[in-house]
Amino acid sequence: MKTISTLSNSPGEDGKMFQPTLVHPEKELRVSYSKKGALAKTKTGTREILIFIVDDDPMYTKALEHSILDKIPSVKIKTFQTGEACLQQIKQKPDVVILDYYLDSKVSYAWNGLTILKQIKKLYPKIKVVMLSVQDSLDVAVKCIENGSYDYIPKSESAFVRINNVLQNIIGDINSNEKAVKPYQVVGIIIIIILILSFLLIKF
Amino acid sequence: METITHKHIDLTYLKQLSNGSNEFINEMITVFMEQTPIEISNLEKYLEAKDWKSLRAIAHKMKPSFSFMGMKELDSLIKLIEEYASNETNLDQLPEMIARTKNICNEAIKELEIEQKSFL
Repeated sequence: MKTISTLSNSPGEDGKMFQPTLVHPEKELRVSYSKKGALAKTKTGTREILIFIVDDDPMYTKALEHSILDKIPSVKIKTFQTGEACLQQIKQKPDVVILDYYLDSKVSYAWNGLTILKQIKKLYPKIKVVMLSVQDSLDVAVKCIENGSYDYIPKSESAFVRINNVLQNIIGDINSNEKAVKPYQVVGIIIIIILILSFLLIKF
Repeated sequence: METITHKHIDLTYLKQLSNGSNEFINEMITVFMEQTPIEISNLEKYLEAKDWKSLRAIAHKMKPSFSFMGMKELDSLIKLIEEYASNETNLDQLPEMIARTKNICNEAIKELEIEQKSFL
């Protein structure tokens, strides 16, 4: 497993080096629990979905967080103002990272969203990353999708609706994958049946 | 509740987004009132330093805030500031545009102070 320290020697997309001490993660980390409280399992028995939001715009972050919890109250959300702070916590393996493309308004040398996307996909390819940008640019969208982004959503007035739809789809996929019978479970069942049959054959 | 019409702000979108949560509207207004003067002073700082890249980054980030507060005039003004800084064109117009942004924001903050009382 690659660790965060392996990132420190590689420059970002724009040549900027990884800054692990950019902002102490605990200082900027905010955790929002669902309206029903922090539950390991939801009422339906599915596990709680963890979402990271990475955006250096506190107003947008707050509005997005509110919108998600309003529509999908069972999720847990953590917010970060820089991608570097998000990477420091990525070992928590969020199910989804909602990542803004431009992250350098507060810290000019902060890595942009594309660099953070690449690092997340390198460390944990299964994490779904949804990219956001005020800029509705096809070039940026293509770059993000090529680098493994699950979706690219421009920050328009309909963005929250789109984000919530994408999240519902991802959560649906996660839940159905977890409910589906895994290959090892099939093998286990076959072994048990063989053992029972063998026992019956020996006995009778 | 009586709706007051303001010159610069229109909270229709924010109210729609809040889904009836006054706490959320109140928090958003507070963040705007705290954040905007800092962003404006950064715009002025980068204008003075002719740091167009940083000025563009700040202008870019301010756009959603103006949309949340229904500030249509600033919505288009900040887009132009971003465009001029990004392309490094019409730079002579930036000081006046930033001064106008500052004035409108100051007036908008006064309007928000009035509006916020109804959400406390």
